[in-house]
Amino acid sequence: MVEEKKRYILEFSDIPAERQSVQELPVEERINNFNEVSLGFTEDAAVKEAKRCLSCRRCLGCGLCLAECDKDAIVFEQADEKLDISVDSMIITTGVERVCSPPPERFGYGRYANVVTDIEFERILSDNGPYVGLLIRPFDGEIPRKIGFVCWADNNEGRGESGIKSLSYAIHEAMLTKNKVDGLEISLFLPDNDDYIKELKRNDGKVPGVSTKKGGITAIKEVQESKNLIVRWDENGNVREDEFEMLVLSTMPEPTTYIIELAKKLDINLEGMMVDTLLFETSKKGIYLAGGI
Amino acid sequence: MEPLHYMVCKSKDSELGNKAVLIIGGGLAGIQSALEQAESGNTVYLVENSPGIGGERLLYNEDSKTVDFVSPDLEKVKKNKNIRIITNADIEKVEKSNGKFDVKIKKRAIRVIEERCDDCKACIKVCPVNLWDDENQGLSFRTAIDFFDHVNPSYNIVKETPVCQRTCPVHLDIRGYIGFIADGKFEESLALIKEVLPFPSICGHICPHPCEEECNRGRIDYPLSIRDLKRFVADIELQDALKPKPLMIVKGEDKGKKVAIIGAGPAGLACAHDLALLGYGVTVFEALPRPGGMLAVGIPDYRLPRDVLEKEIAAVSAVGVEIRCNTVIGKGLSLDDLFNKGYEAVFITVGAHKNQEMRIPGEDARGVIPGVTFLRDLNLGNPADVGERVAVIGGGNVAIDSARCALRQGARDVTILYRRSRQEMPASDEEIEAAMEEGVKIEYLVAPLQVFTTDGKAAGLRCMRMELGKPDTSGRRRPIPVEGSEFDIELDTLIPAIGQVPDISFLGESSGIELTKRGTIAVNPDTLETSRPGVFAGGDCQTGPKIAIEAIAAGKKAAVFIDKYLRGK
Repeated sequence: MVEEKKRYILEFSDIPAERQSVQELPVEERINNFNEVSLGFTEDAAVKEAKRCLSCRRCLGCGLCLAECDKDAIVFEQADEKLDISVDSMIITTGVERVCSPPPERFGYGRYANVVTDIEFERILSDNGPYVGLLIRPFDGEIPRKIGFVCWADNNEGRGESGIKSLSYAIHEAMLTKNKVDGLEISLFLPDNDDYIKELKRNDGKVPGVSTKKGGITAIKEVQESKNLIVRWDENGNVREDEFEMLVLSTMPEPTTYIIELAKKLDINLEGMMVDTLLFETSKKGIYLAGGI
Repeated sequence: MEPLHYMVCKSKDSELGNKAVLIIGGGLAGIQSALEQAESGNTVYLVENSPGIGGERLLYNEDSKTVDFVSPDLEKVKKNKNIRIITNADIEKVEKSNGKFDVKIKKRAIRVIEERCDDCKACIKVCPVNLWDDENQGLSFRTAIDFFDHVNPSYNIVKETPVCQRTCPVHLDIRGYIGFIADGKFEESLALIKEVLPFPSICGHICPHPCEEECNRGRIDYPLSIRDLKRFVADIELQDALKPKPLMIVKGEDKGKKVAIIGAGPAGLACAHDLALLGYGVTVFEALPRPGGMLAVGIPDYRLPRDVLEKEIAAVSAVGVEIRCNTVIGKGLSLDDLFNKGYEAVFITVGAHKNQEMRIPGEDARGVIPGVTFLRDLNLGNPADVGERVAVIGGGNVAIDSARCALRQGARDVTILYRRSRQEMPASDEEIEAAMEEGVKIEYLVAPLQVFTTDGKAAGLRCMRMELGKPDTSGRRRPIPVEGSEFDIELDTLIPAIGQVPDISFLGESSGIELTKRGTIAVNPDTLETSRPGVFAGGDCQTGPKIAIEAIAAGKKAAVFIDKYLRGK
């Protein structure tokens, strides 16, 4: 499991922010002699710097859980196991992973606290999620009144089937959100593209009260104090602007890095084998793919 | 609306049946496939990368409920006797033989005995670690005890070597000693470092800290100053404010065997230190008047003060290592002589002290001093007179050190000429910046063509501008000469520092030790043993020029395998 760069880490008080610097001899005092240039940390700076360590947030082997577990169910020393098996065939069902493309940073993701991806938003909606199912903003815990769903309205070209799927997912989330909070204002940004419009029409009955904005988003800015987001977009050549309390960016299903690595190991060609496949044989006899790949 | 991410996988293949099937992925499709295969009489192995099966939650389901979706067949799979579930596992290797696949699977430890765990969550309540909850997309924290899934609790303690420790060639417990510093426990911190590393202060001064490149804190703002923190605790001891703990020097029982080490550089000294602690009699033979190898004669005092080096080498002598300086192996004392004198194993670690030649006319003139030679003479107390104008050729740390030393030797005008751009420069950024601060000029994309001489002494250099072409075998972009761009510069001293190679000629032809095509000593990479039994080699003479901590790691590794070799004898 790869740890990704996470977002609001500087907000937490247990992590002092500033990197301590070491003292150095000034240039004029060092170029005529061979005295050491770096003078090292003072005690105070060293302790402060050491406190910046995140301990990489993994088990430290402190043993507290071991002491607490009266069932003796914890074994620190357990080693990895190696298994050798022999099989006649293999079925690969490693699922999909959802990525933002183009990079979500373009829409302020990572910089603006109230811009989230649709997977994060799904977690926010979930009863088992970080906010026990309450719809609140990550920045201040306020209940948003106005949410924008952004379905990659970067330009008016669609992104094929994946793009359509991300739209239907955005519609689905918008619907769940509507059910959760009364009087919520929801806008949906999507490309002015025939396939997208068709998908939208197909879902029309399901999303009452969602206003759609067709056309490319040209800029997203954060309002300093409220951390609301001002979205500017281009609709039929007219520049429009509106303020939202939260933005949800659509992601698209792509093959997982796991299966790409696996395919390399197995020497199978994944080209043309994308989302939603039935069980079928790959370029290698005896190896099958199934499920969403 | 049909589900997005999974499809029913009806097997249409009649070949399947009464066979062994491996299913990779324990999500919805995996579970469904496993059940189908098991029902048609096959033996099924269900391998899942994460700690539990059932798949990640589905992004939506048809009921439009906002709770995590679970496969309805989960229980059936768990109960089916024909299905073996292997979670938290990776496929390591697949080989095809006789129409079958031989699969090697690695199951990572979960550190919890699932049969005993009753889901009481007591461990979670006490765990002090806060880590990003991957399941909640980092929007909240969880403990080091991974719950994996609220619906199907599957406990799993995520314990792994921190990335800094993994990166460090000697695998120092960096998180541990930094933790001690944060708590103000400096003695304990140093003791922890010394368990592995005999030279904390040397490394604290000069290590190019590959660990800091990987530090996770660097992904948030800046990495920790790991090197400087090590220096801080190590220097406290050197200033005698802290006495080394006796437990640091626990010698093993005398083994009654002798080992010879050729070269008192970081690899040789680290190996000597470890072997002496294991109870071997160790003698280190050093050709130069001072021990330390490149640490003593390559790195200038302004980076590594002499007393720091001497005190840590003294600590190696203190554990019973004999260091004989001014002793050249080869002249009068050959490898065979060492064995005849009762040494039962030899570790060759003579470093890479020979300059690579530029292969341009005039290179042999007086006033052309190769970088390594320049630094060695300076460090041994016979500094060369560099005059006022100095040009240094090269982009590595030797080039930067030479330039900064030339400046300190009184040169007014020091220019480094490098044939690629700053981006490709192998020297460390902090060194480059310090040199520029001090007034060293760096000219990029310039290559030397010819040295002009006056009365046999270097007086000028013809250079040519370069541009960058396609990447070469080193992965860096290859410099291509720009036609008609020649220009001349005047100089008093030229210091070429374009690389170092080992000089192994001292071994002679009948040593029985094979070399590689690159002129380094060939070894078994697992044991560092050379083609001659009982002779091991490591450090720069085996790898080509690398950083000190890699040489130390090689020395420590050699100690392990020399011990193994001598015990097996």
